[in-house]
Amino acid sequence: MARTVRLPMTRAGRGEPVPGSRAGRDGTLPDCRRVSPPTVGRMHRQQVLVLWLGDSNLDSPVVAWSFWDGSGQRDTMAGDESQPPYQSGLAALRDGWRVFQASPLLPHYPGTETQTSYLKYEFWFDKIVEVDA
Amino acid sequence: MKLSTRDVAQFVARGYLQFPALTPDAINEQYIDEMNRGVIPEVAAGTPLGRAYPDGSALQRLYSHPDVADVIASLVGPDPLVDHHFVHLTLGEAQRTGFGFREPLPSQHWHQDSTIDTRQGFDLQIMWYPHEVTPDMGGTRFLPGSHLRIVSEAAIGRYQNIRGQRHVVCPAGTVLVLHHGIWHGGGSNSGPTTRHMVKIRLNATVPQIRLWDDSDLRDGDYEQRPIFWATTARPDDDLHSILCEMQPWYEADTGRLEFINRIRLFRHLLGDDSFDADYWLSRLEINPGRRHESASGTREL
Repeated sequence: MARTVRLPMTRAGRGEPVPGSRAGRDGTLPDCRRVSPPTVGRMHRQQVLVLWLGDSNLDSPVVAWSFWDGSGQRDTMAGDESQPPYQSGLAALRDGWRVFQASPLLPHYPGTETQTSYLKYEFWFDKIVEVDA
Repeated sequence: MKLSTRDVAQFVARGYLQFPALTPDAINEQYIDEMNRGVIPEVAAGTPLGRAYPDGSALQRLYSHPDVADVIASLVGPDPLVDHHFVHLTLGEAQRTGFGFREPLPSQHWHQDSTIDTRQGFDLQIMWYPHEVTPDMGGTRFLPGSHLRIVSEAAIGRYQNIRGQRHVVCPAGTVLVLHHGIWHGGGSNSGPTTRHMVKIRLNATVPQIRLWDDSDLRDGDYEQRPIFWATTARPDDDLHSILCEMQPWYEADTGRLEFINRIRLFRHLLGDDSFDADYWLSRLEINPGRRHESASGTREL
């Protein structure tokens, strides 16, 4: 099983990278298309964070969240946290998470304008981390 | 004692009511004993509740308990049908390791029971906890105010944590009654002992109109009050406040839609479309220029 060598974890809710993290405020977090090939004996793995926000603005508050760790360092499951990792989508962005999908704004289908359903403002983020091969 | 109008409004707003330690130890312990002896009966879907369980059995004593019976009667009326029941066991360490699981089993994904359901009325889900549930036992996780969202069962499994989610931690004999649409899931039991819960789903056989004790309903409940610019404190039992309680996970816009859908459900239960809370439906129903089609021709209203 792969062993994680370093993960950019955050101080929850403040959008500040933990000292030593690869994440920075200057947008220099590795992009999977630009990141260097892993050094010998190391591999890249994806961490995925999904935030559901209070409206369609990325700086609106987090109302729900999920996290899956392709590095295998952390297991998560439904109901395992009471506080979100960030207060807003923007805080996650400033901690180095990259948005790769956002839910579109769709017109309301006639007759269902007041119906509520799935969480509405969904943003998918990722980080690429190195693990031992 | 039957539920009050305020109780029912809270059920409409939150999708659940919780009654701690409602059933006595004698019934609670009988259920655990019957579980251990494997004598919990199977029941055909649609069986009248009064004929579903053997006389003297724990489940018969549960629904016959006067307080439980009053709650059932207040929400689904007399003679409901048993849609189904299900025995939930969340293994504690002792039993888990017996099956070869070293680690606690993961929690259940969020889901809404049954399937997409667009009815105005509702089925009642009774969750009964016959023993104390401590925080490490993974008590049922549920999301207040989620019951009116139209989703498809496990499609919401993508969500892990939602602001405002609750985990049942309760004394023995606690009864939780839920609107069928509430989002929920079983928790992960990291404790030493197995957690028991039984769920019974009931269908109404009568219109769900004013089945509760509505003697607390006042003319003042129908009166509108200042909204948005409203600086006067309102009493806790104000019907409009109960129905327009926000949840921390609602999106800025959909929270208002939830109010609208709650008021529609409450109107349905009242059997009275003149009721409104904080003007949410009245505003949408104002249409001075609408044309009225009648047998004698079209006229302006």
